[in-house]
Amino acid sequence: MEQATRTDIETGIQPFQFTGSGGEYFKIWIVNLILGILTLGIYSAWAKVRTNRYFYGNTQVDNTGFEYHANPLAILKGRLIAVALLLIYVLADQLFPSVSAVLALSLLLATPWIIWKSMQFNARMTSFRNVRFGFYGSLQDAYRYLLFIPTIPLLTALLAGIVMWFVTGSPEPGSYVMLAVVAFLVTWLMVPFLQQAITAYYIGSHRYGQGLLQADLSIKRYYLIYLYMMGWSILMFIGIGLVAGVGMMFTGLGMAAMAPAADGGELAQINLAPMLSVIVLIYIVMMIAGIWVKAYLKAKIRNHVFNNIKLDHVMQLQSSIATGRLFGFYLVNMLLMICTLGLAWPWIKVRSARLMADTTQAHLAGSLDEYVSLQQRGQSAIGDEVGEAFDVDANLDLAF
Amino acid sequence: MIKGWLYPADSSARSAAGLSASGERFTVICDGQPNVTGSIRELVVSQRVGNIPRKITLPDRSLFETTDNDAVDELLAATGHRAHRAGILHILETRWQWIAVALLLTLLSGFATVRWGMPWASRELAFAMPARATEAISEQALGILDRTILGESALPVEEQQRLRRHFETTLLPLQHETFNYRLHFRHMSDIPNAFALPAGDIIITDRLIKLADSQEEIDAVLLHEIGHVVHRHGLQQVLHSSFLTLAIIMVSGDASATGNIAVALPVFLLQSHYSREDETEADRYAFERMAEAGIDPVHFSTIMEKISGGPDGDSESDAAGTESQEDADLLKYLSTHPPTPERRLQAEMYSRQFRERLSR
Repeated sequence: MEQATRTDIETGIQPFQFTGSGGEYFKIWIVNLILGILTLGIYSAWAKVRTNRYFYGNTQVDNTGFEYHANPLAILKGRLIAVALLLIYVLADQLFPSVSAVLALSLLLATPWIIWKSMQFNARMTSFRNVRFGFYGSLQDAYRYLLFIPTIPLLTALLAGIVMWFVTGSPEPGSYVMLAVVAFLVTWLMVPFLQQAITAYYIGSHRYGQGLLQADLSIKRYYLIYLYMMGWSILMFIGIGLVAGVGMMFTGLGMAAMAPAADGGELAQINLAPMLSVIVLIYIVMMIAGIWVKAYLKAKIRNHVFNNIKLDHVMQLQSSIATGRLFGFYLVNMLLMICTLGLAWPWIKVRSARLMADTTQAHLAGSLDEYVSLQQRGQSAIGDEVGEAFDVDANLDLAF
Repeated sequence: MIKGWLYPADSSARSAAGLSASGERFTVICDGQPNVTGSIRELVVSQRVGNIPRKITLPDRSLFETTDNDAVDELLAATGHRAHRAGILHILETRWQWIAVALLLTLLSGFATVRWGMPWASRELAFAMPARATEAISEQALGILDRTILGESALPVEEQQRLRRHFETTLLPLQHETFNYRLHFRHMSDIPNAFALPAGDIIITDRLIKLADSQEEIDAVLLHEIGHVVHRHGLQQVLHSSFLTLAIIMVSGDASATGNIAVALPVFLLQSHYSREDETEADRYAFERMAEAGIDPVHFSTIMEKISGGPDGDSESDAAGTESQEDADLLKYLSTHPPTPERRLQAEMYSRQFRERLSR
């Protein structure tokens, strides 16, 4: 009997929920902050674990939350390694500039490996219903999507430039400029494709226990989203430009009247106040338009990604966040930050987690009872720590 | 009885279960499964954070998960379990009196760091910076300025040479420190302006030279700029803003936060206050050198009045007040310079002292 009722609860639609509160997290945050200051940053490793545990644990679906298992000591060790590397770099930069260039290049070459290690670490440190996640993406793919493909246009242009130099002897500088412009343009056109490829790699390489996660993302959809975003941006830009032009004309008239006086030796008293207020106004409107564009991109991509995440044939995610709602959310956040000089940060983090949870659902077609944590292959601790140290998950913005 | 879920080791299969304790022993009761029992000391209990589900690992590696955090805490306290001690963090994170203390301490240390710590560190670093580095910074800065807002000077070459000779023979001997001073003449869309770069480059605009009625007035401005160089104000400003940016990234844990207007505003306000003190310091330096060279400090006040009567669209302009009456309110806010009347009073005070000494 017990078995039967449980199955009834578990199939069908399960909404995500965020059960934390801003006030509760504010207290955790402020204690983290002050202990971090008093211990000169050493506590930050513990703070990170407590913060992650708070957000993972309060993100609930199917009557339970996620768990974050990282050991603060491992994170501390990683951060110490990162600080040491940074110190070496700064010292080398001062003493042996040529060595520092080599170091910078090796860091660039190591970045995909660091990100890959960090993905492994973060997946392994996460569990749901007593079963750990895992990341099984290949290092080769990490290099392909994070370093090789993104640099193809620039490398090609570089090669073409060298060939041009050898063949023609001394080509015009203009042709090099053309080459660089084309390379940047192609790189820029590749952004939606790269974002799609990296996201699919990232999600598709995750496992929940023995279960396979996958995301069937459409390249076409990514390009359409970016195309619409460009369209909206151009329309808004033209609109703002028109309004601003009219505004400038009105305030500019006063200046034009004063101009002859300036030439006559007497100094003109230019009334700057209306000019400045128009400029400030344009700046604010541009900023708000920028926020809207950001909200559009994030909402559309997140919905597309989440609507295509599947766990075997058991679970399918669904996201339904509206651009308008996300836009309002960003605006309120900005006002909160300005009015409180940053003290509203914990509430904003909680609001964000709640918004994301509220717009996400899981469709269960079977039982989640069958999953088992896999024993992970031996992995070097140092990689985890370096990956963890650079905290790259925060920088790899896949917009979902 | 604490209610929760029981999971077999490494498995996601769960069943409703209850955990109860008597003395040193615990018992987990689960329908359709044999009871699990053992010593409470053998339980591994996750630390409490807020009200997230608590994880208790049993000796057979199965997991008991519950949301009844208070009951778990009570059990740990009653049996003196080692996880009880780790609960101190949760106590810190929930009692308002501790939160108030933490908030106060955080605000105080944040304020002290920004107000005193960073200026101190910038000052020490600015004075320790090797000449090679300041040369590189200045060269780069002048290059950028030349490509953007500065144009070639329209001043006749003979006039430039005369001013430069005067600068080298009259003003430079007053300096006690060895900087590689160089005087540059530039055009800057009719704005009277002068500014200094860390290595000792001093840039003066055509408009400012045209405004000045005597050599003494130009000297006053140049000495003020040398004051900025000697006190290494430019370097200190650059370092200070780098420290602020770094601190913001560290506190917010987010590099993109620096572009945020909420963050930029306080930084801006702090820095404009900082540079007001710099201006006063450079003024004082100029007054003292002028007295030494036998130039009446009142010339500083005269040239400043002329400059402040004119248009001033550039916030980096030095030696210039920026009040034109109508825009006083807005520009006072944007200005990085002390209000002109204050500086004029200072100049007049030094001028009085100067004349008293002459008449003695």
